[in-house]
Amino acid sequence: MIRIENITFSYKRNAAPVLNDFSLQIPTGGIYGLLGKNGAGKSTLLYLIAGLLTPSSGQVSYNGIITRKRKPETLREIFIVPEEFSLPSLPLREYVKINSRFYPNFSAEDMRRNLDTFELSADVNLNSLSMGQKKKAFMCFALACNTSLMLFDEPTNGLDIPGKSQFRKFIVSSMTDDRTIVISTHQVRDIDRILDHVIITDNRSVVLDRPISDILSRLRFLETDSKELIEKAIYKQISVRGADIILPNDDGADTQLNLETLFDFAMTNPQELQSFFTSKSDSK
Amino acid sequence: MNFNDNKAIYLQIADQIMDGIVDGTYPPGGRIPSVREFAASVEVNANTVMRSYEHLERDGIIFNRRGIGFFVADDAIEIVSKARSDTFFDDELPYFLSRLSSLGISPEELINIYQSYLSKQKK
Amino acid sequence: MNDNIFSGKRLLAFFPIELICLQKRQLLYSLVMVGLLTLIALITPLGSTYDDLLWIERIGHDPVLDELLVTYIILMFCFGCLSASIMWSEMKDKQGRIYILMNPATIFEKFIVKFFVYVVCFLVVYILAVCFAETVRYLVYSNIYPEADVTPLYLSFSYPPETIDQIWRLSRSIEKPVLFFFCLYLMLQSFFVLGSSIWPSRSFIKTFLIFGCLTAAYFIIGAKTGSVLMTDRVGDPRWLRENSYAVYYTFTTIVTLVNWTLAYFRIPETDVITTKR
Repeated sequence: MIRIENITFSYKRNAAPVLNDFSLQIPTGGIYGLLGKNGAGKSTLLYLIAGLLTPSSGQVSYNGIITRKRKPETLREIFIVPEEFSLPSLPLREYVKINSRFYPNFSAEDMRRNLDTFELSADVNLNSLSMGQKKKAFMCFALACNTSLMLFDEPTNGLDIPGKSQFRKFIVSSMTDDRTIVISTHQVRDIDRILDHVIITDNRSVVLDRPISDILSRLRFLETDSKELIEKAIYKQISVRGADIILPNDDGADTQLNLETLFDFAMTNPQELQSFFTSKSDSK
Repeated sequence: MNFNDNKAIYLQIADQIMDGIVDGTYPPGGRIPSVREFAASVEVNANTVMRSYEHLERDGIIFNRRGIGFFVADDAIEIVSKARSDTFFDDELPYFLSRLSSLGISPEELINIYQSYLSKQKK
Repeated sequence: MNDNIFSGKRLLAFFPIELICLQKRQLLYSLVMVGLLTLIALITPLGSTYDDLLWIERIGHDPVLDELLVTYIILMFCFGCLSASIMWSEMKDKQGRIYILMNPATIFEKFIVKFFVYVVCFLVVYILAVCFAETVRYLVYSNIYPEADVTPLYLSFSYPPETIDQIWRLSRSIEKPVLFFFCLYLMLQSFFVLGSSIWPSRSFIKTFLIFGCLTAAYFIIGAKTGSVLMTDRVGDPRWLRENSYAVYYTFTTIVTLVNWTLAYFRIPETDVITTKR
């Protein structure tokens, strides 16, 4: 369980805080999407969870231990895949051998399987890979370490289209009940179908923090050209076939989440969105 | 797999499996991929796929053998065909009929069109 | 057993990270060092050092050695400080910081490994580099001047000690100067260790300038106040002179340990993005 309790953080002493009295809890188990606008401090939040930054007030803990303490028992359960990283010019095999010793749950079998998914070979030299391939190789290793918490910062940036598909496959197939994956991204379409849970922030606070099943039980998402429906929509966006709209889900319909539309709704009218989630009594 | 409808993903997945049962990909009595395998192949959250499997299980199309996996029921093809024809008669046909009548197409025209379609299929 | 405090296994596992993942850099520095030393070893005797055989006979040993020994010692100080400066240099960019900070070893384990590599191993590599340079010099010059008594430094002891007793007497005679310079070396180097932990990028220059200025300031102020204190209490200068070695060793040891400790405590303060607080 990740517990973020009343943290305030700013990059420069007198600048406006990037996060202000921010609190959030992420229980163990599940794939969480962390969405926010560009520069909204999503990376900052991930770094704070990993213990890489010190909040000026408040604390972040993972399974009861403050992550900023950077204790080995915490560090070997957290793996962060940053947006950009550098790899030494070693053969991948050797890189894995050296670095896997620190992760007791590392599985060579998983590593092999992950490499197959991404169509990479373990015998390559890391500096002969393109940026996208380096990312794939690193992610193979990251997931093979089998840490209970994985943090991804813009994982699909820099991946080609087959790579994005491979990424989804391998996140979905490595998921277990005691594993938590937090994916921070603004490329909503790349990951919307693999998420369990959506967290939308505008850095000051959490706008929405709900399982997708909950969102779909309260809201209906449609793409339609029916003027009648568009009229009734609580949010609409012009689309190819008319409009992407959101309607209240009064009759228990099962629709498909349009995460882009939801995100835009959250950014333009957060209070109204939140109102659908506070009154539990009248959702059927 | 392209998820183009407004229809919920778990239902579309259930449809895909039912298609597979009808066209022989998943024969009756045979095993279907595990939740995780299937989820990875269509790149969808495993919990969504689980919901699909539960939906199909409730309808008696598949059943779960603990520790082994999910299997297609022996009478799955019949159940699926019935469900599909029910859907056709309850949802699709009324709409089609209303379109026919609003376009002023007579029953005789309809029979002729259908017959020529069927004879083309035989060739 | 709570391995949050220390794990020998993790410590050993960190060595390959330091040595192999950063091997390009280590190799580069080592080669530069070897190259420079060899160059100096070859250039110093240029000219007519070996031409005057009578002079060589009078001295009794390879005349270049005295000059080279001093040069090697000075270079040891320079390279030693440079080596300490690059100890934490992978912390200079965000990606390097993420990699080191997220590695599941304790700061202590990481510090020990880096200390061993950049202080201890460096010395070994330096000594080997000197031996290499000397061997090259010997091979080159003994062929050019076969009558001159060209000797590599490692064979240059006047009476190669053959018995334990001779080794003991030899070590007693070189003990004082070696210890003196070694303590000075460790102390100077420790400033650069501290500098590397505070300023991971362009550490050598920053350390040199800042601690240089601080030391200069210290001496100017210290000398002024010292002279004031000394003249008031007549007995003290003699005490200082008599116990100068003890004072010196205590002073250098304390400064060295303080610097290493400060460096050690500076690292956990590092965040992945430097925030001005």
